[in-house]
Amino acid sequence: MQSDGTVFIIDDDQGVCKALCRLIQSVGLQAKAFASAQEFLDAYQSADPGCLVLDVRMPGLSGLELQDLLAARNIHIPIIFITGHGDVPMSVKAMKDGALDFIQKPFSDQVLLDAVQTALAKDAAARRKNAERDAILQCFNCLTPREREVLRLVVAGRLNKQIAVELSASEKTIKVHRGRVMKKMQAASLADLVLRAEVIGIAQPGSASEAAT
Amino acid sequence: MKPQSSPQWALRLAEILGLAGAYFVLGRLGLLLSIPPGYATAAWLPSGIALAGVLCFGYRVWPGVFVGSFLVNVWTSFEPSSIQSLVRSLAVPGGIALGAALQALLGAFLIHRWVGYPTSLDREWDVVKLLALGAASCLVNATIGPTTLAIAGLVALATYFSNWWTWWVGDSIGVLIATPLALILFGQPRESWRRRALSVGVPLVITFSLVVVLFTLANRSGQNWQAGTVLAGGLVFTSLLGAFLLVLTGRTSKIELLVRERTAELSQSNLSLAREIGERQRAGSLFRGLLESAPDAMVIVNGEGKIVLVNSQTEKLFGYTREELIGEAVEMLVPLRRRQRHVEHRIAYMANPHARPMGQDIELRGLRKDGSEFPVEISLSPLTTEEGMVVSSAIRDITGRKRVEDQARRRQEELAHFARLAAMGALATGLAHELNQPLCAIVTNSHAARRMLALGPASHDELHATLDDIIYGAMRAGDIIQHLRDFVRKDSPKQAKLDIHQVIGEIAGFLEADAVEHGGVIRWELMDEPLAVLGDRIQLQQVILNLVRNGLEAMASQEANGRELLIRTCRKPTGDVEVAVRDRGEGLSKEDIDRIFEPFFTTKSNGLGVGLSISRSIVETLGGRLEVTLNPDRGTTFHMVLPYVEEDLS
Repeated sequence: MQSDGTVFIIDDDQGVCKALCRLIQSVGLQAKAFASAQEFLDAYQSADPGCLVLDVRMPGLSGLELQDLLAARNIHIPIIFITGHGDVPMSVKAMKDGALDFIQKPFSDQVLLDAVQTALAKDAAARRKNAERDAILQCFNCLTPREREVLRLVVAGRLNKQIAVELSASEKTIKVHRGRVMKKMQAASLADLVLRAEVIGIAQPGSASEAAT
Repeated sequence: MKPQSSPQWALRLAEILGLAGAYFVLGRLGLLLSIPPGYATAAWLPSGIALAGVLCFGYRVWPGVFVGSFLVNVWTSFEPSSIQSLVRSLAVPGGIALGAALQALLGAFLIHRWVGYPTSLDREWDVVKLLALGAASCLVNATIGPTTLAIAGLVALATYFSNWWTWWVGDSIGVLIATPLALILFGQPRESWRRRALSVGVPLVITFSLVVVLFTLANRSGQNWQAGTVLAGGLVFTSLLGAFLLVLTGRTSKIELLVRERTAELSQSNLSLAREIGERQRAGSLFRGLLESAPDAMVIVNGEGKIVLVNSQTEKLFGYTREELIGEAVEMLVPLRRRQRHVEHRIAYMANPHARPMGQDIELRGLRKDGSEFPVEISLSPLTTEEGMVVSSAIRDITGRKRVEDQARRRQEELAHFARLAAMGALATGLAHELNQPLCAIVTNSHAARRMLALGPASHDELHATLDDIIYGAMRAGDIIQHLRDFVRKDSPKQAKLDIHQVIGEIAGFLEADAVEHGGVIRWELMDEPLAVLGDRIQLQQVILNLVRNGLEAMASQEANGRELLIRTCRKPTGDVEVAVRDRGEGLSKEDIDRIFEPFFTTKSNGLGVGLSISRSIVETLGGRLEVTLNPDRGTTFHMVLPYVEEDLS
């Protein structure tokens, strides 16, 4: 699977940096090398898609410290750690904090490339998902307050009649509202509407069954 | 009154009375010799006694003369028949007595003035002067006496002159005879006058007695003029005899004195000669004793380089006997290959001799009779002697000391090696990281290259570059391993001229890896120019590594972004080269600073405490110093200062 993300390589050793760039470029990916974590921070925009290949130990800001810093800034770029020495506690921490992989130097090209591909794919997927949710949210924002109430009750599994009673309106009126909601939310079916509502966090799992009782 | 003045006063009175008594007795006897008519006698001995008395006892005894003279004259002329005759019989002796006293005082004064007193009269001229002045003083009473008589009408004016003459002659002869005799009895200096008792006194007394006896006999026979002639001639003879004897004895005593003085001088100079000889002998034996008791072999060499003196230590040390050494060139004790140079040095030394150790900076060796060599230490000192300049050399066998020194050096090398091994253990993870980097680059580049191959000829240029990088990485890994091997190898240090920057550069990788391992960072402030020092590469690196590691460990408890270690090189104002390693740790307490270079002193729980102590001894062996200072803000700085070596020395 080809993606248009960039592989950001951070290693204080120039030789390693250069070799990594070369390897990644040899499979047709984009690579960008930085000699320190600070250099990367200065250059990176959160909108840039891609993944990080990061040396754990570096002078100045270490790999783990950069990971914490990015998390604190709400930047969720996938991170592959590379390290010269297998340090178990360090790798456990890195993985717990969401690192994608922890590879020991020197490594086989396939291991790294696979990890990079996975990371890029993950990044791309995450970005796609984000884009989808943004689109649905945009639709949701077009709903009137009355329509939002109707949507919430619909995805909760209420029948039109029940909704009419709950909102003190005629069943006919509710039908009209429901038609508008379907249209505005660009839902093909009721199931589709529920799914979309779930993406933006409106439909609570189990709310339907709760309604049924 | 002072207690002693009473006896002194009594003594004076005794002197005066004694003089008066002597004057009176001799005067009574002298009147027997008077030549009629009149009072004047042929030899008035009291005048001589008076003069001698005033000379011997001082001017103050003049009353004795006066009293003596007065009594003598009153005795003969006292006539209380009428007041007029009584007055006359007292006034006339008074006048004569006054004259006698004045005469004695004047005579003594003249002698004091012209001859001096006390005198031993050992010069002819002094004898003549004393007698002549004595006789001259007699003119006083020769004038006063007859004048008094004439005034009293006891002497007719017509006979005044003959009286005057007789008086003067009598007094003068009295002086000539009695003064020497009185001086023999009382004169000063006692020694020379007493010795004249036999040679002058006895002949004079005998002669005088003879004259008196002859005169008495002649007088009895009634032949007045014969008696007068005998008396006059005899007295003159006696006087002259006295003078002659005085001159004679004076000269003898003079000669005796000279002989005595000369003898004293001679014995004095003999004594000092003997002392000097003794001193020289003592000095000589002292010198030989010192030479023999010296702990070192002493070889004394003359200006031509020939051995002139050796001690028994020399015989023992070199195996030659004294006889074999003396007279030979000193080079016989020098190994063959160094003889020529020794001759040159010896000649140079003779031109500028001063006490100094020989052969600074080079190892001196001695050659035994059996051909074996041994290390020596020699100090030279020039000695100036009557035979010209010689050089004394103290030669010490330092085989034992050398062995101990070698042993100590070997121990230190072993300890340093051990410390390096220990450091390596501690550095293992950092080293693994450092070695891993080129290996990782090689593997990654190789993988990339294989993929490029698959892409075909289009990627050949990139393939080339990749292969170059692979080679570079492999070389780098090889260097690291090579250096690691050097570092842990047990080698004797080899001093060489090194650029300190190159020395540091070789371990910069180690240091940075170690810094990363400690979560720190190294900042470099190295001078652009090369800084040459003398030392062993590995040892210097060991010191630097040690300082860096110390600094990194000191910062372990600090915030991650505060762990900066500064390595700086510079030239001190003195020209020395300094490598400073500054940490940002907690610093050291005053007590720790004082003790930090002590062996087995450590502030760390896992440290051995030998690193800094070994580092310091390494630096000091190179003639440098290793110091620690507290930074004004935070942490400590270690300064390794080494002597700068001129570039062109190589």
